[in-house]
Amino acid sequence: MGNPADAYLDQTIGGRYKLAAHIADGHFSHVYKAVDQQTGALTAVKVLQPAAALDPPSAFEFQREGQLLESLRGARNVVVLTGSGTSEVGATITAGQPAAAIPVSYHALELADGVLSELLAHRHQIGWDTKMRIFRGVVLGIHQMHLKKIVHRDVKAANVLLFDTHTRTPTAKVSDLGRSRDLAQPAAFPAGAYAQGRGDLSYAPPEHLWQLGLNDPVSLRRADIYLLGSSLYEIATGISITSVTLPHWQWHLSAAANLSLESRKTSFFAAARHIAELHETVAQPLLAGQVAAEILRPVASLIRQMCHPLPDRREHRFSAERNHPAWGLQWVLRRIDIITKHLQQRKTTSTTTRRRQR
Amino acid sequence: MTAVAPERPTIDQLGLRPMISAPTARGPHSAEAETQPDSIDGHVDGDLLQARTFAARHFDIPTALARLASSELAFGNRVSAADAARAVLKANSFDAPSHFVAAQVLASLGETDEAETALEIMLDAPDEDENSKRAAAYLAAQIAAHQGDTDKALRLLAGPTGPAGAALKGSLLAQKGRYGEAIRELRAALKDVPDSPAALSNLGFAYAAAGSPRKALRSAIAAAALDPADRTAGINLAAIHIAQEQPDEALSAIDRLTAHHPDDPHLAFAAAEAHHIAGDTQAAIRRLSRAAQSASASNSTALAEEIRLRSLLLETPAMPRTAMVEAASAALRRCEYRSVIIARILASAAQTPADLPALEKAHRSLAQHYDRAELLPLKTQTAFLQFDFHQSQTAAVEWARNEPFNANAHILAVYILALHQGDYTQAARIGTAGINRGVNDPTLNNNTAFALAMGGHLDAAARMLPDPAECPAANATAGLIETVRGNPELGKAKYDACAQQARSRNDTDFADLVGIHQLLAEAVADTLDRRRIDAYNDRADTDPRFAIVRNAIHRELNTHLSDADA
Repeated sequence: MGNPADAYLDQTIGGRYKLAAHIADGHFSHVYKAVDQQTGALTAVKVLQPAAALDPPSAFEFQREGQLLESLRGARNVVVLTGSGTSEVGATITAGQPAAAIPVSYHALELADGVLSELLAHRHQIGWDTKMRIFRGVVLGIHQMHLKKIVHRDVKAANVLLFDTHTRTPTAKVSDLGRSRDLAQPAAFPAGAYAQGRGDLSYAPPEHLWQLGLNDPVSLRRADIYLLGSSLYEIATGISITSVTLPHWQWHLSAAANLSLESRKTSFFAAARHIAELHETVAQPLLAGQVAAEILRPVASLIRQMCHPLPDRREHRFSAERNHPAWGLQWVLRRIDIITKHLQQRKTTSTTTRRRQR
Repeated sequence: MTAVAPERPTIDQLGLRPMISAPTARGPHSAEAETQPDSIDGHVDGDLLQARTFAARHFDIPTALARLASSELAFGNRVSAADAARAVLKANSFDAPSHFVAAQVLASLGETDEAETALEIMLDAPDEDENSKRAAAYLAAQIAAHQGDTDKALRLLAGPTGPAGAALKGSLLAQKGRYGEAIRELRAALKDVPDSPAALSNLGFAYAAAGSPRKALRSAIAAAALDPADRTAGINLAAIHIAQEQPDEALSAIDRLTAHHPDDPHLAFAAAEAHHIAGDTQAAIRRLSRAAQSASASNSTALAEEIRLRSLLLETPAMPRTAMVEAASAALRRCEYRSVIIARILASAAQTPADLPALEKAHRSLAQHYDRAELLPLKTQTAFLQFDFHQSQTAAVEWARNEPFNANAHILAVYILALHQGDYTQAARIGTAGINRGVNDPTLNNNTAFALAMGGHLDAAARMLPDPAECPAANATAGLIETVRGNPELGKAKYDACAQQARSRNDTDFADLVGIHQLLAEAVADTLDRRRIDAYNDRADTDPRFAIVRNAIHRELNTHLSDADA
């Protein structure tokens, strides 16, 4: 048998979406390009894998993702959910066996034109004005989520979709809310599940590598800020900042597992200082070679703050009021706007100079 | 007159060491924790699948491959991670951040040669910006430091470095014994990150080694407070307290550390040594017996043997040297030569050619498992007993530089430098530096006084002399001072008293050594009847302790001849 995702091809889900091509994989799910047979429009359909459907946490997360996307309807920088449900499809799961009717959960989403990680594979060909606009879109998406009391917990380039707007810059929208959490609702998992985070920990905030992630709104928002800073670093360098400053994070994680909570905290606070040293010694020099010279200082400063190893140092430094949930991530958006303005000014100045020289 | 080694072996567990800040490059066995399964019910995690699909689509783009290498490592797939990292290096295009991550992944997996090659490419890339080169130089220096190539690491850190680079440079300079430069670098690192426990602990070490005990204590206390669970910082603090004759404070520091590592037998050793230094041998034995329980639980033969031997040494303060050699050799055999601590005890007890086979066997066996630096005491003593005084001197001086708070290392370095090379100035400098940084051992004072007297600094030597009750050789050194001052009768009286005391202890070896040292004193004073040397020829042909003094006598006599010719 080939790719298991091919088992659903050409099937119609929810009596409406005909799966035309397998385009990606999410957390325990497959994503297809589909045709909405009611409207004829192309759409994306995310289908929970059969094995994951039998795993209660995965099934729960998939269902919750639909609910969260529903509640985020209207947020311009979050992918739009157009339909959701469970549908029976006939599929040959094992070669040689007759097709069986399988109940599958699905979400129908607006179809993106690309993924940020794909664009970053050619990052040297993209100008910094475009990069900053894309990053602003990502921050705006998380800002909109925070205003709705939802945290993402898995922000990275692979989870940012790009939509062509027929302008120079595509619109960025955050997607893949499988690990998101509604802060207005009680926690779905025990506190320990939030201590470490899940998935690819080479993107994780440092506190998660010491199993010190907390399930309170402030800590969860601060983890999102780290992930956003890491996304900017990824936009600049193509790699995650955790993989640069914490290359032996597995070692810290397994060492932390043997320590008491108190010792873990002590060890983390001590390590945070070394991580701060590595920011300056390794992460920032690597960044310096990748960022346009005129905006290097503000970009480096923003990343330094957002990716600070100590969570309480990631927020607005001078105004506690700005860190109130009602403000969302306005202070980050403001900093991005200043950087973008700086770029535009430089561009205008150099154009004028060129004209004068002519 | 000096002794080759102290009267009895010391337990040098509680040694100050510079700590290398949290490593970037680790050995092959340290990153092996497979923290997460990459699949549930046969389904690969979506994140990893994403990274694999992405890399498959962009198989020649370094960023995609570097991301895959990180993700594979994150999911514990060591082989796939190494393959992806290698693919980054083979890709047609060059991308500095991807190259760096690939080198870092390879270093994590113990593939240090490949990691170094990757970093060399970064460092040699003509179009590469200086900032990326700085990051590459730091990682390359980390790898070199972990491989023990301190010179290469320092070369790589020669240019401007960030705070972690300065901290690493400081710790390496401290290891090399360049304490002034180390202090400068570490203070520079602390300007950027003022509360770095590693930099503070290393600064404490460097201050202590440079002879600034107050500053040392201040830095060590700050480092231990920042990270009370850090073993090196805690042990360094305890050692600085010991150096300042504050054993109770040292014990408190060790107890605080033990709260974080209750089952760590090495902390029990450190506590036992602190009790021993404080004069409470019974408490030291009690701590060791508690450590024995942990050792039996951990099923470590080497640990059990170390505890047994340490307890034996504490319980039997008057154990004859030959019995110590026998006990240490038997312990080494039982643990299949897997304990450098026991081997070092053997080295400090082995003083005659009869002990050479046991020492050689230990040195050969341990060389397979331990760093060269840890085996310097064995090398010093083995070379000495093989009459290879040059090798022995080189190893002793390096040992004293590596372990600036180790009394045995300084005692031997001073002794061999003075007698073999006749370099009394350097010998006196090493001895005085050790004493200034708090190495409390009367034998070191005696050896330093010997070097000072041989170098003509008689008043300084007389001031340095320890109490003869604490160091039997002190009377002989006093004899040397008087003989060289031109008081042969008084000098002879001192030598005779020293030899008489040795005979009363039935230590005829020591009495004979006093005799040949008296000849050396007369040679320095140019009053020696040359025929008297012949009386020691047989001993000098078979016993290196006599041979090295005979060589020194001949050197002194030749010096006088040259002076006369001139």
